[in-house]
Amino acid sequence: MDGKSRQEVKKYILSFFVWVLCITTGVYMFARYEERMQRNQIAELAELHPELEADIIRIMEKSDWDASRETDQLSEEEKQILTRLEETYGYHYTRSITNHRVWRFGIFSVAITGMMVMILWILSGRKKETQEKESEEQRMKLEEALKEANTHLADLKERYGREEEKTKALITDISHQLKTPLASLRMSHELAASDYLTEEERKEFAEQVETEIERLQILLDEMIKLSRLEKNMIELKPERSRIKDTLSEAVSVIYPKALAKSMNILVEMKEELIVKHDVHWTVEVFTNILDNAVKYSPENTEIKICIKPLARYAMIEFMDEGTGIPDEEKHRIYQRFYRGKNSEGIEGTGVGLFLARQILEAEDGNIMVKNRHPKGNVFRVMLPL
Amino acid sequence: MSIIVEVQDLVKYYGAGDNLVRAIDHTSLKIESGRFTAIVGRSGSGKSTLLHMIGGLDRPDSGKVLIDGRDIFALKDDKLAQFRRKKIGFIFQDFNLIPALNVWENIVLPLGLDGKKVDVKEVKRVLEQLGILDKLHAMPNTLSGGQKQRAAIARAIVTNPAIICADEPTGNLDSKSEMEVVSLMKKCVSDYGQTLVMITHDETIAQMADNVVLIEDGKVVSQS
Repeated sequence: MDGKSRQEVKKYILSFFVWVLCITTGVYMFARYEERMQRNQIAELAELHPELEADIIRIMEKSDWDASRETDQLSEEEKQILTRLEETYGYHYTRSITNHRVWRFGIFSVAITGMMVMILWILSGRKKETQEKESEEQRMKLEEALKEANTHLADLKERYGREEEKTKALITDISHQLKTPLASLRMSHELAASDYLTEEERKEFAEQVETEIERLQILLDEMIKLSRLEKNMIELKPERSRIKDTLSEAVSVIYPKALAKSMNILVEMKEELIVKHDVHWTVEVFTNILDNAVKYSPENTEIKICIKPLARYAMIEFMDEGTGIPDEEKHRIYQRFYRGKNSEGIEGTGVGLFLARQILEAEDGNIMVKNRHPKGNVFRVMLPL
Repeated sequence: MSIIVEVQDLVKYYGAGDNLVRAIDHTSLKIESGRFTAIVGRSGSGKSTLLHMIGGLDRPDSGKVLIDGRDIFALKDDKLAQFRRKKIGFIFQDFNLIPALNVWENIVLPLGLDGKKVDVKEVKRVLEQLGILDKLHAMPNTLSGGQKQRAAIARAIVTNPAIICADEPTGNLDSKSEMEVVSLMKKCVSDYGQTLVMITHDETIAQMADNVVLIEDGKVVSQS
């Protein structure tokens, strides 16, 4: 900075000297020009009036055009001659230094050039100001952009780190979930193998073991699906295909269970809709929702499914007449292994809706549930058209 | 957790004495960056006031709001306005589209106000994503509620703010549009890496959020 400003100062001083030189040269040249004019005047006078030649020469000898001499240094006679010249011929003797025309020229040129310099200086100053402002703005913009990029990076890093945490949590969860059924199974088995039971009792417990094993199997299946999805081992391949077909597949899976409870399934659809989705996994989603609907609804009720097109999405509504989900639980039901307060006595792993949401979000879709009047749920699934 | 908005011990009271309304009563909150956070509460629970503070639209009586680590209320009014324009986009329940301008003009208006150049291709892409590209030159009074709200969403998104604050955006929409609007907001926001903060009295809308904050009588009751 110091070197730069010193250079600037040098530039200013140099410019100043150049300016002074120009002015001085200008003034000097003007003075010389004035002198020459005066000399020409004299010469003209001499030509026109040869009788004055003698006087004129005397004045010229006496007065040194280039020397600074007061008018009073001239003798009386010389002064008279000057006066006569002035009155008669309008000739006016002036020394170059006191020649106010020269002074006027000098001041004039200083003023004009001074003004020009000032104007240029102000303009360049302003230009500098706007340039500075612009660069300051740019700098701030860059700073902001950098900050945002940093935040984004930190966010990504953090999400990456979270994956590890998620994996740990998943493993913990799974082992926890498996403990209970396994304990139950062991107990049943021990009882079945015990010698203190009757044939009947033993059979009973054997059956129980059978049930427990099945339950465990289901749990395990769900967990495997879950972990595969979470670890991105499964790739969803959304394709444009008929949503009706996907739904039909899901309904056919759930149909036996519904039939067992004398439940009716009704599908309403006005038009054929082509939706972008991964058929296999969306069947999974629909199956899970329908499974819940059947599980939590009383016998002899109806499940109604409506497919409607919206502006950018297709909406599939699953309406049941079941126990419903309390408002404060509505956003928790999608958590892994969450089982609602109404789930007492009902089989389930709590994974179904979690899986459903994961799959749907991966397909750029969404899921949400609303209360149905007078009772039941309306599950709304959206998939992009 | 990357926190983009941090509310520290915020207080906002209205009135005095018998008429004292504790709109926000020593509330603290953290909002994750890049996520959809829903602030849920009943009417009069203070959620609107809270959102207005977070968005820098209103000054609190005491407490701080830090956005990206910066105390926004330490800024002077004009600097705050500038910051708000650059960082925050708003979506209101009443859409707030200017009736005299058509959809396109409404959407690019904030860009113009900021002296930014309009990337026509980019704006059109957002409109297409929201499904209102064909309504480019329509006047607001010819649009349905859902379409108006989508135009309002487009307007909030095109300035590319870091945070989008939505005040009951589905309040004036029918039940079909409401889910779609929320889905679209969620998608746009995640596509552009933005943070979405939405207030709603409807807990069913809150289902779609990544984080849910319950607010009651000016205090945060729970976060999940």
